[in-house]
Formats: sequence, C-alpha cells, structure tokens
Amino acid sequence: MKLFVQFLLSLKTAFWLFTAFIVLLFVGSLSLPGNLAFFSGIDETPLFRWLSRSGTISITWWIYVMIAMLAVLAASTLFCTAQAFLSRTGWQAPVLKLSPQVMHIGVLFIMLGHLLTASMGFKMDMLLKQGERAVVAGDRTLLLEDVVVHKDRQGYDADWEAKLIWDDGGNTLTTSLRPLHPRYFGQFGLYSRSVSNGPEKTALVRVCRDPGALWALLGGVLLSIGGVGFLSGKFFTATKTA
Amino acid sequence: MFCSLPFGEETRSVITIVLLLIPATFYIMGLMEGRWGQGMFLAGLVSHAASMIQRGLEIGTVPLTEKHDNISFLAFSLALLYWYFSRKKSLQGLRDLALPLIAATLLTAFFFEPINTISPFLRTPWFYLHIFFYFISYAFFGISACIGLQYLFSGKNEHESLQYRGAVHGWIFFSLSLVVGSVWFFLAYGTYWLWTSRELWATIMWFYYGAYLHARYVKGLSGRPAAIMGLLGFPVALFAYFGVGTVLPSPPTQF
Repeated sequence: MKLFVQFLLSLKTAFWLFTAFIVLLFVGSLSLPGNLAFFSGIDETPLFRWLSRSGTISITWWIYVMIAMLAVLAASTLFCTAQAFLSRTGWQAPVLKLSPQVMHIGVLFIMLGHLLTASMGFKMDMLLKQGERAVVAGDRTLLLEDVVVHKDRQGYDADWEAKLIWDDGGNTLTTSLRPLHPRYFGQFGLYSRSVSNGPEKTALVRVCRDPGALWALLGGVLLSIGGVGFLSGKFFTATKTA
Repeated sequence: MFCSLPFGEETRSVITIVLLLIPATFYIMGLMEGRWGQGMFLAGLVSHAASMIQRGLEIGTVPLTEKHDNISFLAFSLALLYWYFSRKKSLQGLRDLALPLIAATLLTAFFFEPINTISPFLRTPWFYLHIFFYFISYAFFGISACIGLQYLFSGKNEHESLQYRGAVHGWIFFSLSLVVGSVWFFLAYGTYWLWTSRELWATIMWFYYGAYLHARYVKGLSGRPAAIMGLLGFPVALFAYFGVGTVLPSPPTQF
C-alpha cells in the first residue's frame, strides 16, 4: 500500500503518465483521420455509449487505455494535492503554494465533467420544417414557427433567428434561437446550427443534455484562477526579490 | 474607415501585403548593432501595429478570426515579448534568434489569403479571447524556445530559469485559451470537446508542456534534458497549428 501511495505521489509518475498520454493522443490523431467513416458518430453520441456500440477494439484501444490512465492520473493528482495541503513547508508564500493545487483541483473537476458527459450526456440533431412538430424526448415537443435570416453587405448570412414553440407536455413556451444564443429548458439545451430561408423554411436544431458541462466549467474556472494566481505570485516574488 | 475608401479588392490586397512587408523588413534590420538596430525594431513594431489596425478597419472587427490575421498577431506578440525579455542584460544574444523568428512568422501570413467574412458563430468575445490567449501562449513558447537555445550554448542557469518562466506563462495562457475556447464552443454548438486531430493535438501540446514543467523537478531530467524538452515544445506547438489540417488531415468542424 505504501509503495502504491509513493508511486502515485511521485513526480516521475506524473511525468511518465503525461508522456504516455502524448503517445496515445498521437496514435489517436493518426487513427481518427485514417478511419473517418468508423469515427463519424463519435461526436454525436456520449463516448461510453459509442464505445459499447462500436465494438472494434483494434481501432479504439487507445481510447480505452487513455480512460484507464486518466483514472491513475486523477488518483495521482488527488494524492499530490492532499500531500501539498498537509505539508508544512512553503506556506510563507501561500499564493505560490496554493495556486498549483487550485489548478490540480480544477483539472480533477474537468475530468469529472468529461466522465459525466461521456456516461450520461444526450445529443440529438433535428431538422425542423416550418409548421412541423417534432418529439424531443418523452412528451416534450418542438415546433418551428418561422425563420428570419439577416445578410451582411456581401450577401453572407450574418445572423439568423429560428422561432420555436417548446412544449414539455403541458407548458408551452415561445422562444427564438440564434447562433451563440442557446436556450435551456430544464435539463435540455437547444442550439441553432443552421437555417434555410428557401421556399421551404427549415432549421437544424441541436438538443443536448450535458450533466458534465457545469463541472467542467467549474474546473476550468479553478484552473484559470490557479493559473493567474501562480503568475501573480511569481510576479510579486520577482518584484520583491528585485 | 478604410473599407469605405474607394479601393478595389486587388488594391486592398496589395496594401495588405505591403503593410506586412514593411514591418518584416524593419524586424530584419533590427539585427543591426546598437541604437540603429533598436530603432529599426521599434519602427517594425509601430508599422506592424498599423497593419493590424488596417486589417481591423477593413473587416470591421478585431483581426483575430482567420489564419492570415492570427499569424500576424502571433508575430506581433512575439515582438512584444522579445522587447520585454531583451531588456535583460543576460539576454542580449536573444536578438539573433528572436528577430528572424518574428520576421519569418510574419512572412508566413503571406501563405494565407486574408478573409473578410466572419461566421456568425465567431462573433463573440469568448472566441476573440480564446484566440488572443492562444497566440499569446504561442509567443511565450516561441520566446522560451529561443532562450532555451541560448541556454544550450551558454550553459547559464539564468537562461534555463528564464526559459522555464516563459514556458510557464505560455502553458497558463494556453490553459486559459482552452477554457475560454470550451465556453465559446459550448455556447455555439452545445459541446465542449470534439474527437478530431485538431483537439487531440491541442491536448498533446498541453500535456507536452505539462510534462516539461514537471520534468524540471525530476531527478535526472532537470537541467539540460528538460531544457531540450522545453525547446522541442515549440515545434510541437507549430505542428499543432500548421501541421494539423495540412500534413495530418483533420476534417473541418461541421458543427
């Protein structure tokens, strides 16, 4: 047990884990474009569901190894952070002492976010025609009322609006979707991907449920705070020394 | 505004090229000794800033939405960081490495035609911040690599320490870029991660510099081996930006 904890606490472990990730990601970056058709649905489905359906382990092995190693990295990060908090040294410069640990905790939250997204996420793209009602999930439906497109001076689509009616089995809400302006109804998020303002008005709408996004965001915020804290700590230390 | 002036497309392209050639020439002339060299470098910075302002006026927004402008911004960031680091007496030799790198980076922008249309999915401060942090991080990685090269020749601990400091700044700005980019992508497309070569190489870069920052404290890796690792990080970063999509295929994002 002691040996295992020492293994997780070692900087060498972190270094070799990082190196292994680099190798695996490199393999993945060659495998993805080499098997485009095979990987075509990976971004449309939560990862774990996609992996269980895809079956072909000879192509996806690097993802499995990476998931296993992420678990080891998470444990290593957790132990190193706990040790840093328990250690009595370094507290004379608390910002420099705490910032890397805040970053570590941020990374852990990002991993948790990815884990939740990969296991419990939900994604669906719906091509809605004007006046058509489509079922989202259960008794929740979406109806496309109208599409408005704004062109720029050169005639390109500068902005658009898809006017929709969301019905969650009793409550009816009118809403409009624009690029970068998603709408959230309970656990579901609606995103406008594209619209067509031709003879037949259509809107491509993405419906998502991402239980990991907020955790990942929290992790990102902590990573940023830790990073900025570390830089400012270094800056003030350098200024004092100067 | 520039875009309202009576210039045709071709004239505008010629002006854009000239406005890049002028600072690139000044940066190279910055290799001259003494005050003349410093003056030329500053003239390069001022004319470079002018060329970016011209592009901004031409497209009506911050010029950070496509490769031509991004590379120009990278060269500008490199120049600013070089200016900051070169004030240290021990880094006088940095000029011979950094100025050609800045000029070469700027001239690379010629290979990418300026694009004046902007997708509605890019019109958000989150995207601009993502790109801003991304190229600031690249500039830190570039300057850090130059200082690392200097360390390999000089063997001075101060150079190694400055190389590390540059890489730490780069890595933190790169992390910020990934966080802000994820927020932008989630608001635009409802997801914060994609399985494409581009994303995988961004992650490779993050782990690579993460490994370097840890390696510096690992017995047997600190010193020269870690410095070489830090130095090689810049080619990795360059491949992540220029190589993916050209040498290594990565399908364009269809989201």
